[in-house]
Amino acid sequence: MLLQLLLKDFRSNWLYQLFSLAILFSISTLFIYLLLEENGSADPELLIYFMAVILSSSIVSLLFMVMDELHHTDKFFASLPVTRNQIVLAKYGTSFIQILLALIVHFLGALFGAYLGGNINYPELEIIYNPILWLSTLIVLLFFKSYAYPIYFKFGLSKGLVIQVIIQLVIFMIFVAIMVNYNKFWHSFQEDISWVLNQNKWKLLIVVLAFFLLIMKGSIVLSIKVFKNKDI
Amino acid sequence: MKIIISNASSEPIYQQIGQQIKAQIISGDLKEGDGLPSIRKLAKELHISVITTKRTYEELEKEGFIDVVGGKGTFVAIQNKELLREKKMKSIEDMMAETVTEAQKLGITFEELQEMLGILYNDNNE
Amino acid sequence: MSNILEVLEISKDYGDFRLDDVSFSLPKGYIMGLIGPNGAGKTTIIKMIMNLVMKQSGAIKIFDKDHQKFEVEIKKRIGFVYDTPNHYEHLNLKQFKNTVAPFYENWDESAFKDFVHRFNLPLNKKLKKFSKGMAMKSSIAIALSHNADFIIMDEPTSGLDPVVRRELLDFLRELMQDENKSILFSSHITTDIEQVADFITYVHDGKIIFSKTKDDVFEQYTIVKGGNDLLNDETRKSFVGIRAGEFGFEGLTKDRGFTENIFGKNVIYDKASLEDIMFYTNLRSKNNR
Repeated sequence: MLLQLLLKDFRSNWLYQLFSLAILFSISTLFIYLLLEENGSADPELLIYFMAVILSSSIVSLLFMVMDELHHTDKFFASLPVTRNQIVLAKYGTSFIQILLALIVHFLGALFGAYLGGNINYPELEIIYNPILWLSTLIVLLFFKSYAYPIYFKFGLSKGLVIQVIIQLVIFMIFVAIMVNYNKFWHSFQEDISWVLNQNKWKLLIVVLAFFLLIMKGSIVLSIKVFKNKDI
Repeated sequence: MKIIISNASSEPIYQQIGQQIKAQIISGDLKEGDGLPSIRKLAKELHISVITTKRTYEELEKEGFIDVVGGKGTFVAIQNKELLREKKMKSIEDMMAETVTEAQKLGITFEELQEMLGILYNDNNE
Repeated sequence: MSNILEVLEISKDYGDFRLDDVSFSLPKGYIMGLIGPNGAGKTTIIKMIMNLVMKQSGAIKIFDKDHQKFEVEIKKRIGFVYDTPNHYEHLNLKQFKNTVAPFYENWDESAFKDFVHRFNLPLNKKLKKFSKGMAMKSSIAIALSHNADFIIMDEPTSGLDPVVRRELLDFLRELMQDENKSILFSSHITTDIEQVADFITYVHDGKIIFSKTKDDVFEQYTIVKGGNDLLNDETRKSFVGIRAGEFGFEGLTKDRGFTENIFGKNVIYDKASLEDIMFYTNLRSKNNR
């Protein structure tokens, strides 16, 4: 039944899913293409690029939840032979798959943009091909999800999103405040990134994965607990 | 089998049905061993509750008019001829008792009543 | 008689509304109608049975099993219809059916086709273009196509026109030819319940007023009409509710025998409808406030 819950979203909303992935693809293609056209220094733009990737993927991965919220189909599926735990797990599952798809599509879009720009091997784009960076993006996205989901399960999607946006804005503002006030910090941040990127990939991967799994586990446990006593 | 129920009647529906089935058994329209519809079929056809038809059949069974054979269905009971006759006699007696009451209300004497009965009886025989 | 459903003293406090020690049971093979005014708690009770709303205390058993511990096993054998249809409206009925069917091992495609035919539903039209009645019929078709043993419906007839309502009621009667099926449905259209229910459960203000066979209800509850001279504080007590007019009174008693002992043949006794029963019960609770 968990599988059916996972499948039902893709089964009934595949057209919207394809459409939104196509948008992600175009965003990446356009961004990278324009970047190469300008031929400027790539670093800050690439930071913006990854922020755009995170934001757009995060929005697109809400698709199924938005559809359920719109048509009250959450109620309907809860009356089928499924447990509440399965409902929670399926929501995590679908959003995980959606995020993976989104990142893959972004990557392909970026490749296509580079191809259109005339040079796939443009040195400034090297960072695009670094799997660690994509993995970090994935981790950031999953981190957002992991604190957002218990909120959705507690307050419902519409209220939950408002709360999430507020939290995210606060985080963003703190980030900006640090950047503006501490020019030095920015440099050390860059150093940190390159330090991180220079570490042994596999060691890094394991540490990050373990950390991520722990956070996810906590988030799922919390969501299950919250949703268990929720009136539908 | 024919059953018509009235919602306007003050008589409970289960009794209405019971009376009509009994009448058809006594008159011979329903014969010994004839199958009766299941309680669910009867309830569906008459648009009444299964509980009502169940109650009717239970009462009829108690009075010995029908047999409920588990798994097979419901049948008009093999009637004891004497018993049936007795039952019919009882119903005639009831009707006569009513006639007597009505007659007494109008001050009709026993002789007058006897005369009326005699005329009716002979008319019917001709 | 084994019970298909047992609701035992369930309660839930919402602050401004309280579902209070609700108990009733439904034997296998019968239809139960749940009546009560809007906001009486019908939907809450039904959702609690479906484990969609959490009870705070009490127990619910379906098929003799705890409804939470055996949730999936139980729900496989239940056909459930919400009071408002919740469908993916960008899909057509066929597509939505294909989304739901895999959830049931014993999905019966031919039963579904029968419904589509019987209810005259278009398979290839987008669900958002369905009228309220058509959407309700779609919900019913989808909920009843897996050979469910227990059908639970919240206000299934409310959006339907009279002809379709009759069709649905006829279908329920047909379904009851199988003594292993049971139905629980709520409705504020009391005539629907009068027509098909074997048991009637009446909820008022979060409490059960009665839960008994339809025959018992109509044998006991009676409308009494008579002259105002018969009314005094003592005789008034025998009524659930009473309306005294200029030319006489009309009241509802829930114990015909008792009332007959008081008034004998000085009054007229009429059959009470469920609407009468609801009206006079409501009248009393208003007066008590």
